[in-house]
Amino acid sequence: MSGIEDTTVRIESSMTAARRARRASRAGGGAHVLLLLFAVTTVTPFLWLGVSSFRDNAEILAQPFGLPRALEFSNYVNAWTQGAIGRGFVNSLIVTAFAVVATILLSAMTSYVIGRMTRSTVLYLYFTVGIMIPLQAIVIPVFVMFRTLGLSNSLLGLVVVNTVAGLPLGVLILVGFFSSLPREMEEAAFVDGASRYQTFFRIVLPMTKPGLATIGTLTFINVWNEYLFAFVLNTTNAVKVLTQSIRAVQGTYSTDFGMVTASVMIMVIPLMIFFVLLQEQVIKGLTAGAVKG
Amino acid sequence: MLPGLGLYTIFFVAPIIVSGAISFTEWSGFGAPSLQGLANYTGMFRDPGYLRSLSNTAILIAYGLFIQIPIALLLAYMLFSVERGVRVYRALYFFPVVIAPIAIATMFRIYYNGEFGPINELLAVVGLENWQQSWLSNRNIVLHSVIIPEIWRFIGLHVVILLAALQGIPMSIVESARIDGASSWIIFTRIIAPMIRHILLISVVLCITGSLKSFEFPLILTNGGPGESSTYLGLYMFRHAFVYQKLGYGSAVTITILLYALGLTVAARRLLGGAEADS
Repeated sequence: MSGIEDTTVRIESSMTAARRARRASRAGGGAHVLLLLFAVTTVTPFLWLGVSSFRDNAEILAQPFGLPRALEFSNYVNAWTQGAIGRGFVNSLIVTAFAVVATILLSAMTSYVIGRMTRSTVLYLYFTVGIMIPLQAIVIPVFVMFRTLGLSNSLLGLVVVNTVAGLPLGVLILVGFFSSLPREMEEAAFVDGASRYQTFFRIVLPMTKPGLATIGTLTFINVWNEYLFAFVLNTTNAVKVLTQSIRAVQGTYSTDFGMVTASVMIMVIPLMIFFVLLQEQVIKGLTAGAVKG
Repeated sequence: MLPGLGLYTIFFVAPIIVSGAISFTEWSGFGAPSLQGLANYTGMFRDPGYLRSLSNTAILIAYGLFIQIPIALLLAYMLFSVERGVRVYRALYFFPVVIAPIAIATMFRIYYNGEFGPINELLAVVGLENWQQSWLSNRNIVLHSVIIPEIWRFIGLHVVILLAALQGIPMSIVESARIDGASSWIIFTRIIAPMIRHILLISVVLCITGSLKSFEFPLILTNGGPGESSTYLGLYMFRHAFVYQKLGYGSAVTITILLYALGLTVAARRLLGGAEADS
């Protein structure tokens, strides 16, 4: 498990390493052909998806490879309203936003206590052991508990379960982070009469920003894409999230490729924007999250 | 601290223990569970559906270990040795990793469509009509159709992990071997492979645990069918617990998934990390 921290550090410095590596390299054009070939496989499926989402369905069925005659937004309108993708989008946005904030805040508070105040190895292991547990292992009891507590069929329930699921990795990342921070600032704040809470929110959290950003990125992507708990806990239409709406559209309008592609695009576009803007952050976050599997 | 500890204990740690307890019972989720001893476990190994799901999951893991990771390693090695475009390639490879399995599976369901799907259309365009298939209903190939997009989606993640591993190797060692006349193959097998073994372990463990909990691809593409020919353990559990409402049996399946994950992770560690002393 310690390997992953080295790995992420190396990813950050990968550009310098790449520059160093190229001097020793002697790979020719053959490598580029292969690299390009795989890039084609990762790009074209999404390209086709994007192009098709602007085409008329009859045209897609008649001729799958073709360009839109004119930018046709009707697939998006149909998906958003008829397919209830709009409702799913809004619900996903709400759940994701609250889960990101809650995961960041709870991970930070917990890690601060574990890493700085109690310095308890037992507590650290207690939280981080969760990384090795596949979430399937808790889904059945959570389903029963939530039904009893009235948390099923509520956005709050999804926020809670996604936050709890994010805690082990959040604690792993942040405890490591806290132990690398100098203590002087906090001690100075104490001497000046600041309370624990003031120190935490004014001094510690701002210093932890890079760690918090990693956790935020990871949580955003995981929660936006989450399906298992949504499917199990949410059965009423009003609270269904985007992954559920997409499955519903796929089930009901399976041969309306225009509408299905537009639905998937509505889910993909925010991730695409996020990825383009914060590429390094996303790659770093998801690689750190990879230990979780 | 307290809210974190409380929520985690109630909604994460306790449920794991409860899962274990429920797995020895028969329970629909209502009324009192009735104690069954080991009946769920013994029944499971007599159920052809479970055994089929288990072997399908094993095939998924094999695809990961023998196709996905080698491809990723090859690509990472290529990226490691080229001069230009590393950042661009890395971004393009990583993109599918970010996209939800549900979205990708939905997309591939269109690609695989037998009548109107782009894959069959493409085969016709290049004159390979006789390769056309009903990709998702032919029992002989359906499992492979379900596995391939799933494998493809995560190659980029392994590329990033393994590229970082390669970049951690001191170049002086590689250079001096080259000066001594070692071929690329020798350099790769004798120097590079042993040195990245510990990070390779991360990829291997990720592949095993990811496969064991996977369920979205078969759910969307085939619903596990025809019959059980493309059901994974994750989907088998899901169906028995939440469609047939057999929470006890579902929990027992979950516990076996958990045990396979732990067992295989330990085995992989032994195999790849065991010789730590000599490195």
